[in-house]
Amino acid sequence: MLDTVFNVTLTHYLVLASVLFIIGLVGVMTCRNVIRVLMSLELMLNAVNINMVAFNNYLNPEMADGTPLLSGHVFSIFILTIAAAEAAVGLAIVIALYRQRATVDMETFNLLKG
Amino acid sequence: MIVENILFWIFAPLAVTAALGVVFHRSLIYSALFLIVVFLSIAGVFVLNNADFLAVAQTIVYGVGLTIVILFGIMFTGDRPFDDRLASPGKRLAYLIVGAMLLAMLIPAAVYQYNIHPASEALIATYMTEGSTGLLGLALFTQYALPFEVASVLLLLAMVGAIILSKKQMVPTEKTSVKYALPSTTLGSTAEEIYEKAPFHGHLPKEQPASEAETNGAETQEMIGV
Amino acid sequence: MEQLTHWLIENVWMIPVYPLLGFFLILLIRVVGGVTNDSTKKFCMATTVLATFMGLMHTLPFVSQLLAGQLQDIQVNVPWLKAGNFVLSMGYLIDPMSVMMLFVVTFISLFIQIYTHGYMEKDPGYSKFYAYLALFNFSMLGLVLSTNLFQMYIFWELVGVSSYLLIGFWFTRPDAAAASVKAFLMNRVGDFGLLIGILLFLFMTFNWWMTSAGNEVLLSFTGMTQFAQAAHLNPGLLPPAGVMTLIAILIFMGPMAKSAQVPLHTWLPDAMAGPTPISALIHAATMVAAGVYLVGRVFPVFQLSPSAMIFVAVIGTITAVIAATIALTQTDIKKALAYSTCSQLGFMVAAMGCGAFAAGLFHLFTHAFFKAMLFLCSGSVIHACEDEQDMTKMGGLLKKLPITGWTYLIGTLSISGMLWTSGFWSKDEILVGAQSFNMVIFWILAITAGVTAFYMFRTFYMTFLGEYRGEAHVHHESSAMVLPLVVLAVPSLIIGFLLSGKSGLVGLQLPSFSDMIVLTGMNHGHEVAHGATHGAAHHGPFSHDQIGYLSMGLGLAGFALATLMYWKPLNDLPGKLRSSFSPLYQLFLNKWYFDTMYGAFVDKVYLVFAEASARFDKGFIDGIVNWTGTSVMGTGGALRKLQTGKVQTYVAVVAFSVVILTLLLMYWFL
Repeated sequence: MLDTVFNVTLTHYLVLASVLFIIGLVGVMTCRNVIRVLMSLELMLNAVNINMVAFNNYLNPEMADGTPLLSGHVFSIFILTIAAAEAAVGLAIVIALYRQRATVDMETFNLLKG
Repeated sequence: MIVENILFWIFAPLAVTAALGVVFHRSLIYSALFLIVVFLSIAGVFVLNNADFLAVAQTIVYGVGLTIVILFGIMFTGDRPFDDRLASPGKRLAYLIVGAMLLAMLIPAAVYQYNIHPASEALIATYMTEGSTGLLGLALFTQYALPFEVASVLLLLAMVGAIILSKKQMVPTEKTSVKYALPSTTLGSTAEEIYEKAPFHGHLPKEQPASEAETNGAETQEMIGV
Repeated sequence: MEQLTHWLIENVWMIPVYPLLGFFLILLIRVVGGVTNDSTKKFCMATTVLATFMGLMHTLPFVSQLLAGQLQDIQVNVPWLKAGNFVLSMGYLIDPMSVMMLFVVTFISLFIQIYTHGYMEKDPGYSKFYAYLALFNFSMLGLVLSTNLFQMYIFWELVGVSSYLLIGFWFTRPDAAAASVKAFLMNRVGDFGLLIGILLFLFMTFNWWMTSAGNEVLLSFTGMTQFAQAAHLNPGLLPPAGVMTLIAILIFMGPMAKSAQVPLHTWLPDAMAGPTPISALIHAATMVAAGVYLVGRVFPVFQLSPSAMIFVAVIGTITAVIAATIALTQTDIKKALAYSTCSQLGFMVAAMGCGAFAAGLFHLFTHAFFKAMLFLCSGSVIHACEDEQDMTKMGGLLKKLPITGWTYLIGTLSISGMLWTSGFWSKDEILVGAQSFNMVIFWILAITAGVTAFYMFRTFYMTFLGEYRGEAHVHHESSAMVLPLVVLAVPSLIIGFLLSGKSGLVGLQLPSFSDMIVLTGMNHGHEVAHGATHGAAHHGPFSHDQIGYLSMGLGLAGFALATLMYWKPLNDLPGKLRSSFSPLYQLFLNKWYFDTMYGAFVDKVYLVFAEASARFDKGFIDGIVNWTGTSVMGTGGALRKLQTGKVQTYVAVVAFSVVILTLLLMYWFL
């Protein structure tokens, strides 16, 4: 029993990814500081990356001729790229918001209130 | 294999703990530092999965670059040690329950017995000798060439967008007193007015007692580590 | 000449098209030209007159064929609206009845339009008036040529519209504006019944039209005749008797309004607010004739319901009496003539109801000539007296207006049924028809004929004899106005005799009117339906000649009484009569209180009901509509609370939705 838990399989990575994802989600939902929300968002993205890489390692996708494809890695790279872009733009927005509102409190950002 | 297992059991709890720290630690700076820990642990997990290039990229892009950007953000906005939790405890509890439910949904998918396709001898040999970088490069520049180029355009756009958004001229100051159409209706037109009228929910009253302001300042300094 | 006649016959469909083109041409001139000067005015006049003249030219070959007894019926139909088996058609029908009406309408219109030139010369709306005249002609001629009830209904409404335009021509005068609206509304009431009647008839006989009508188009008049014949042989085709009566009465509502029958007659006297040529054209000669014409067209349908025939006869008789009695008291020359028109229309309709179909149309035919002429005379008088219409301010005008006066006398003789004049022959026919139907109606009509003579001579004496009582300077007659009078005087005198069947006395062998006018599509050998159209002339207490003497005698009595009372008023006889029969006089003077009753009905019943409906509409109907709006707004207001504007709430909602959806998917697929 302990062995099954100790010996690392795909499931371990997936559980790890799930836990990290949920922690990130909870952070996004409950944190009031915009910056912390952004950080939680990065957590979620990273959890997804773990997923991609682990699946790639265990399922080993191949092209039609048998060449290994590493599509999981490729997706991770793209996620990485987009995460970087998102962080840059997100922080720019946060700074612009802060200059206007002088606060980073998520609770005050409700211009779209109906 | 045993080394792999041991390393996983080091990295995984570390990542989870640090992630909890990111979300729940009181100080933002600490959170940012915890975030570095998470990124690095995840880089370790990548290594365990034969993704050596990604591990390095993770370290450079996330562990260093992104964290620095976030730290810059924290510095710009000021590390105010205000209560970073939702005002309503009921709401917070509800959100936690939603998270728990979603986790409960995810676990069955995680423990599902996927049809594992073992790596070929040649692939293992490649991993052992030259790593995954070459294969990844091959995939990026053949199969995924177009998305790769599009991603570069996206990065360019994001850069331009970020610069435009954070440009200083757009911000009303007392000197320029640029009129902002949208917020001025509720908050006023100059920065001073905005500051006065902005709702703070009592966390940061504008006229705090001097002593409290001092302690706050001291705390901030302490947190930043000065 | 041969070729021309051929061309005229071939292109008979052009008759209504000429005035329509003329109408649009005048509109174009008015729109493009803007201000109308003398030459464009002349051009407009010429356009309309020429259009009518062409219509008359197209008609004449048929008239000669009809008189020679060689008229071949022509019926052409073009599908107009198709929906599966259901086809509505437009077309034209040439048969004795339509040729007769075509002749009346084009002939009288032509001279009235010439007369109009003299009457309206100084009016600023001269060319517009001619445009309306052309439009009216188009409508009326289209109505006459219609092959089926639907087409006729369309032109029927067009006639209503043009009469509205013409009555309200001087729309700045309040009485004219009110009169036009009144005429329109009254006609709407009748048209409403007519439309329902048409639809009900179609509904009840639809199967027959679809299966056994042969080549007949839907609701065609020839088809109706065939239907009536088929129904005589096979009564199973008919709807229940009550429904048949209802259909006939509903259809009759149209003619009731258009031909001014009691109780829908009140618009006709008021319509005298229009220019006098219009009174002559529409309200004496042609438009009011449309109602009688329609009754003649759908006569076979009426014959299918004896009760409806009685209804028609009674309504006609009542109208004849009531209008004649009102005419006794009128001092406005045009109003007196208007009520006399009303009364004469009552005669026609009564004749129709008595089954004397041809007699009714014969009277329509002769009446059109002399009544148009009488109205034109009155117009001439009014024109000469500077728009004075009150007869108490006239008198002795015979010297100033000799031609008008003498033609008016001819018209008066004719309408009074004096020997040999046109009115004598047609009224005779009606009385013959009435005698074979019901003696009460016969006597009422006969006495009313005497009353007619009385009030007509009264107007003549008051206007043309005695001393001039007015103040206005009397002008002379203009030639454009006199010419039509003279021309119309001729048929007023002789046309009745020529078509009475007795023309052999002067060496002409013309067929009698009742032999000429037969229902198209009628099988001549078919006794059942055929007999009725001629009226069973040979029973009843009086012979044909006796009836002629009787009506002559009553007419002479009326004439004598009028002479006694109004030529050289002795001892103020009218005034004494007036005071000794005061209640009766008041009743007649107030037009039997019809307008008062309608006013009271509108005030006390209709408006109350309308206001209640308005309240219901505002409270309940609008309430529902508003409630729909407010409830949507309320729902939106409630739902917008969900839109907190906070991203975190949205994220939570998305996450929760994922949970719910996953659970649902697991429930369904696992």
